Amino acid sequence: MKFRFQRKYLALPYILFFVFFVITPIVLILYYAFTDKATGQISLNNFVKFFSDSTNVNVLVISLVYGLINTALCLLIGYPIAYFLADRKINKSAVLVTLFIMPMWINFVIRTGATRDLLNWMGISGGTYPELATIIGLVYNYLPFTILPLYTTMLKMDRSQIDAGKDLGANPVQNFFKVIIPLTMPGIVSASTMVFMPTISSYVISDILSEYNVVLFGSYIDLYFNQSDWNFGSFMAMIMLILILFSVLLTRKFSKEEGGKESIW
Amino acid sequence: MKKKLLTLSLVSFMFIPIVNSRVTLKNEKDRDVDFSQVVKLKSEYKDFNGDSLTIYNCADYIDEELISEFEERYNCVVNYYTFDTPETMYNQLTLQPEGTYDLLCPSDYMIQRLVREGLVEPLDVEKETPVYAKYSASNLRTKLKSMKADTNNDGVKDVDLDKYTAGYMWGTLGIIYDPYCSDTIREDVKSWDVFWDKKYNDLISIKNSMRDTFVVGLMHGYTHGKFEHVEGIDQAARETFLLELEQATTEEQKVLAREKYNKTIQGLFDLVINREDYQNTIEIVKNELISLKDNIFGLEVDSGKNDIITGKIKMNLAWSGDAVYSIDQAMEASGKVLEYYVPEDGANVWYDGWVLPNKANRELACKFIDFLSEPVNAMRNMDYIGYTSFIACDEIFDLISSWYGVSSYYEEGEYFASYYSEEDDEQVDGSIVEYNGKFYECIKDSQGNLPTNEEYFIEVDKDELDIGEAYDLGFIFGDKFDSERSGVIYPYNDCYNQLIAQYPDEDTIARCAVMNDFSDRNDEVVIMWSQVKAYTDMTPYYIVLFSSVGIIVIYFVTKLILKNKSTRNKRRLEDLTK
Repeated sequence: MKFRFQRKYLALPYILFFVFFVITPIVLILYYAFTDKATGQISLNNFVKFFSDSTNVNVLVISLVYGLINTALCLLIGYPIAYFLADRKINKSAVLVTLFIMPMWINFVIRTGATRDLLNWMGISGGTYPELATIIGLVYNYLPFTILPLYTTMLKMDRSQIDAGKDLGANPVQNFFKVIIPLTMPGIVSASTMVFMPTISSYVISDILSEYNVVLFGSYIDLYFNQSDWNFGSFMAMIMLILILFSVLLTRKFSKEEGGKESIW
Repeated sequence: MKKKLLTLSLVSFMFIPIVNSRVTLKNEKDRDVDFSQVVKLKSEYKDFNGDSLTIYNCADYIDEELISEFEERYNCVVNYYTFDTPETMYNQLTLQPEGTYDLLCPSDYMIQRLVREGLVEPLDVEKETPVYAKYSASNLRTKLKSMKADTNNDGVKDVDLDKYTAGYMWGTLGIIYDPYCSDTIREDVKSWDVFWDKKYNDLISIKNSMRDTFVVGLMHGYTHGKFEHVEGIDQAARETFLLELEQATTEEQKVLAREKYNKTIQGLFDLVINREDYQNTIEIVKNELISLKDNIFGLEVDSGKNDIITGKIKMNLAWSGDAVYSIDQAMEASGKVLEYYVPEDGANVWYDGWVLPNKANRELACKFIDFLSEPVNAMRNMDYIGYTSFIACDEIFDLISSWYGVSSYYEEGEYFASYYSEEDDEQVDGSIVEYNGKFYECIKDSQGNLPTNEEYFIEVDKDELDIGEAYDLGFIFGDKFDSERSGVIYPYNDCYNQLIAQYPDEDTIARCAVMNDFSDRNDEVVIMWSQVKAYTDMTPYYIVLFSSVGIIVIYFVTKLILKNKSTRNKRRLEDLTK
């Protein structure tokens, strides 16, 4: 039969991508997570191993806490920046935005190496203040990821609604919580997810900046992969996946309840 | 495993000026001769017709010029790949189909693991790599022979490593330190206690490597009597050894004393493998390392080499080869003096070697091992990477003595007067040589004239040369010299430390044990290591976690209440309007 081009063939590259780079890795993770390292049989050994040692759960908690703190700080710092950047009256050109986003252009491993020396020069070395150095590094790295979604939402935000709030007698605080926040909720949600999820699995930043004193979950998984324990490593990767899935569902529900527009997540 | 990540070109660049480059020059001449022979006698070497050889080596662990020379000589193609740790190598090797790699260069314990899992083939060193067999130091070969491996995973160690590997480089694990960071540092580094010493709080970094750090915890535990109860572990082993050494009148007695002492340290290292209650040992090491965490600056992968030069840290757990490199770098970069010491509590000695994985291109791989073992090539390689070679020959001895000091006169030696080097644009001093306890400088190129001949040599004062204690390398080079000569080096005082870092003396080697593969108990050591790494005070983390969960819950509850309230209000309003 003669080959006839049909429009659906255009989907082929995407299907292949999906199969090889999304489905296969997940299947492999699941396979390794539920097989035994020594025998290769299906087993729940990794499950038992993970929950029988409090260290594993502790590392997970540490990562969660760093994720929470990082998200909170990024929002706290990034929100006002994005607000002013999006205000055409204050920021007449896009130069400032570019400046804030610029660190993202440099590979983060290189940037983190430089941050290490910079912090050291400022007297915040990873050996003495590992937690502080890690948080500074995390915030520095993820701040652009917070600013960007917030900035785009705020650009589209209808500023006359803020004025309307003022006219109807809301004081600035009320105006902020009742008008501006709900209007920018989709941006806040996508900013939080873009920071929170990668923080849990990040490890280069914490390894380099804390001189390996702070161990995040990603680093912990890497330790086991390095020692050829693919099974236990995969199990922990799966735990992380579940956790991230859970946080995505939660934020989706959250953003819907707020009545805001659907975020990209 | 023992790698240098920093620019290696610096190494070769740096050695030449220090070494008043006589030896290099001499060997360059040799090389020229060799090369013309290569051209002339090319038919002497087998033509491999473009056959390929895939080598998987540690990063920066070879002078890559040698690879292209090898390709040219044997008309073959070399695919050269590198790894960062033996674990990475193992992962790659097991993930790729058999026959992907022809030649690997892992560390001792990894070789044991590969043998146990049947991933490598035996190597008959005498037959297949005759050049290596001829030039490798006998003492080091004996060490390889004393290390056992289990071929079929039945728990019985039935072969020695010498039947599987051709040694490449070796060294010790010790402490590199800044000798001016305190008045007592030279005394302090004699024990691993120095890492726990509050005086050096936040000035120490340690390798982010499970096995190396394990050694520190184990030896510290041993010194503090944590293994007193274990039979066969003699708490006073070192005192006994020193006493026996003092009383020994013959060399044999000394050898016996060293062997006995080494056996104790080795026994300690093997507790995890040999004993049923190995978990106790792991637990002790874990507690030692957790207590260490408070005092150190952090762990490092390869930032330590740089940090100690810049002075950010004052002490670092290091392999001897890296230490030699850092000492040179520090001197070159800022004139900073660094020293290396292997603590007297006992430490680790390691050997890296070439092995042939299953389905390797044997013939060509063996040719490569032999090629690297040829004296001139081995010397160039050692000059380039700075680690200590398995090969012992005149060329390497001359290289070492030119780096660190002066060696004794011998008849076949070539001695040069001072000359002007155009390449370096500086005046190069004439060769200095020891003869009958006196030192002479060559003033006129001399081949075969005794230093007492005043036409060719002039006597120099020992103190003026700043020459320290004589150091006998006979135990490595003794039987490998081409002709009868002394293996003694008279090092300059400021090079002595580096020389013993490069070639530890027999008493140092006696207190260093080989760290065998943990085999099936490795998993438990990995867990211990992960617990040590992740150990931290969890209270603040739980407080933050619970309070944020609390805040979220409160937020939702108040929202719910407010919502109910407003609906109630709305309803009331509706009722009213009705």
